[in-house]
Amino acid sequence: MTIIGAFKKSLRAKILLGYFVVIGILMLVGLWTVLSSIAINRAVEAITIDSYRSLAAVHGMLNSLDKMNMAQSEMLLGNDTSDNEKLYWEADKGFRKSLSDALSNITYPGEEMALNDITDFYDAYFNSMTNTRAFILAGNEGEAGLRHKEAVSAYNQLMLKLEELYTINQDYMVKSTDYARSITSRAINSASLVSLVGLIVALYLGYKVSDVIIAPTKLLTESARKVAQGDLSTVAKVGSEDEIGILAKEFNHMTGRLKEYEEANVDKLVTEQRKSEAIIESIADPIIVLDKNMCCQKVNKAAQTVFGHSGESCLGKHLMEFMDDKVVLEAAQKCLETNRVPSFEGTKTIISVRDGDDSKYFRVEAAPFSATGAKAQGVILYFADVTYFKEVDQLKTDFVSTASHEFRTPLASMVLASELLLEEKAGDLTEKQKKLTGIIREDCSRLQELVSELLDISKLEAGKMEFHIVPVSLPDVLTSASVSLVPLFKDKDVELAIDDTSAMPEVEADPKKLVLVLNNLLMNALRYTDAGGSVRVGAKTEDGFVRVSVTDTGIGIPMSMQKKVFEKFFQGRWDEKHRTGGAGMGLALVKEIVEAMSGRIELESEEGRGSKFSFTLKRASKPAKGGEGVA
Amino acid sequence: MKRILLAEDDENIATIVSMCLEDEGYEVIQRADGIEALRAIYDLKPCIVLLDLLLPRMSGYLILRALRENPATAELSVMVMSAKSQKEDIQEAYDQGADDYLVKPFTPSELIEHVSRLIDRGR
Repeated sequence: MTIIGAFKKSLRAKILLGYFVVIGILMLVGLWTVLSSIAINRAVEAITIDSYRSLAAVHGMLNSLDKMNMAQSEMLLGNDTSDNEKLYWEADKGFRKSLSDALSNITYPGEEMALNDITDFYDAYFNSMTNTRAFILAGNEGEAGLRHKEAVSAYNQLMLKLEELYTINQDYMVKSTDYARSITSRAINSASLVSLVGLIVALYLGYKVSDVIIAPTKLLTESARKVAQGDLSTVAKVGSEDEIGILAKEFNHMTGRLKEYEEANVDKLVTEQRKSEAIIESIADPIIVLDKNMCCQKVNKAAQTVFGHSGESCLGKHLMEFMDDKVVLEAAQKCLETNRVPSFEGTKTIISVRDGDDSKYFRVEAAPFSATGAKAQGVILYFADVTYFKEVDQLKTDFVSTASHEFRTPLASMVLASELLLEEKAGDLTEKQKKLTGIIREDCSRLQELVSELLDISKLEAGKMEFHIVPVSLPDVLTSASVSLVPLFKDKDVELAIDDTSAMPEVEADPKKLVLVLNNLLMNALRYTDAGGSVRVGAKTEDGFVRVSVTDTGIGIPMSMQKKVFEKFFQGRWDEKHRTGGAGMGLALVKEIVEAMSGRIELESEEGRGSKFSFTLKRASKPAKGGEGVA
Repeated sequence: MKRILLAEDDENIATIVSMCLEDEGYEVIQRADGIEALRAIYDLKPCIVLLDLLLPRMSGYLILRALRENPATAELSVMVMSAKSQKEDIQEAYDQGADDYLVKPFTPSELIEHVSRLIDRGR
């Protein structure tokens, strides 16, 4: 792993790099300042040490010269003492010392040459001065005067040179001061500049470094947000290899996995949905799926064909647009509200649909569906094709009706003929003849009754039976129904008890039909009750109804058959002894009549103990007009 | 006189059938329920039995089976009378051991023809 590689992988290294750069700049500035300080120091040195020393030396020399002059003047004035001598020689010593100081402190150009000249001129001066002193002492004023002139000239030149030296050093001192000053200001400026630049660079670097962390973090955050919103195909493009880069890589892995998982699930869901759709399509009966606004979400082919709409145009349509049928809408709404499969009575949910010239019949079934189970999200409507059954039923009814009519004619003539024969209108009859004719007449009656029953039932089913509903008083009806049966009961030795129902309220019924019902029930009771038993008719009030019951102590009806007794063509086959000769229509007719009068018929029975047939009738709202309509 | 047992619960038919047969010189014993009929067959030993299938207390087929299982009556000629006219029903009757089948309603001459044929066969 190379250094660069390792660097790339470490966030810390990058951050530290930023720091180090800043530190470096700091150090740079420091270094710059240090260098500047050194330069200033140098300049100061130049001032203090170099120039000052030289100037001091010059001062020293000048001082010495002054002293020498003083001594010389004294001597010239005649004050030649030993102190004077001492002074003179000390001055010389002093000068030479200063001169050597100056010589050892040569720093600038021109100093050396000046000092050499000073040395020469001093030597000349000193010599002249010394000679002058000597000549004065010797009393040779003439020579002394010459020498003195030489000394003065040397002295003047010496002074010039000293001045020169002084000036050189002074100049340099000034120059150095200026130089120091300039260095200082330059140092200040450059340090400031470098500091400023350093600050900017530091800020920039600081920004860049934090960017190293923030930028990828922002990218990741943005990607995470997108993922949360459902976009699983985002890729966080963080190119670095450091810790954040690794995080980004793992993040991308994660979203990749999430996407796979989602796709797998979506696949599953789509497959399931397709399967459901295929199943719905394959069903030969119409199916419509409604949403909670009663609009079609799904309409299978069968539904499209039957209801005459097709394809895409069905979707979204309200149910009533699709088929104009309130029954279906009601069923669907009830289902949606209660979130349960609604139950309806009997034929209420059978709708008819026109198919060319014919009609098709369907039984509507509704079931709710929901996502969570609490509230229904929609309704599935299933239309079971009951056309066949309806047609068969219709055929049967038609047949029965036709046949019954067809029977009546021959029957009528048979009855007539046999009646006439019996009345001996066609001549006298022998006993045997009477007997035979009587048998004919009797069986014709039986047939007539049977045909009537069949006809009644088929009329009832075709909705063609007429009911005249009026308020009816019970005692009258009960009497009418039982009066013709009293002899039959007597013959079989079965007791017939009729309760006193005068206290009962009046009921809404068709009197003739009610008599028929009671007649039928009583006949059945008699038929299935053995000698010694009893049959009782009574009534009682219940809520808003009156319940009439016929109770017998007969052989009873087994549980398994109790529902069936009210079916058409059902004959009591559970006991051969009490088999009827009829077509099995009696109770079916009774049930239909009772229901047509808005009542319900019930059976309670125990095998071997007896049966109780009871039915309800609506209470009349107005009183009966005494005995109206009762036969 | 040839004795005929008539097992028939419908009074009217029984009366007329008896009348017809008696006119032809047969003796007719009539019983209206299955158990009585069976008893009468054992007791009175008729030549032939006219058997209605729908008898109270014991159906025609049960009686037929009882007769056929009893060696004493296994060969007794039995004619079934029934309103059922389908081929399957007729075949069923023969399978159960009937010797003849008469479909209701029948005419007096049909009745007499079948009865005499059966009696002749039985001889």
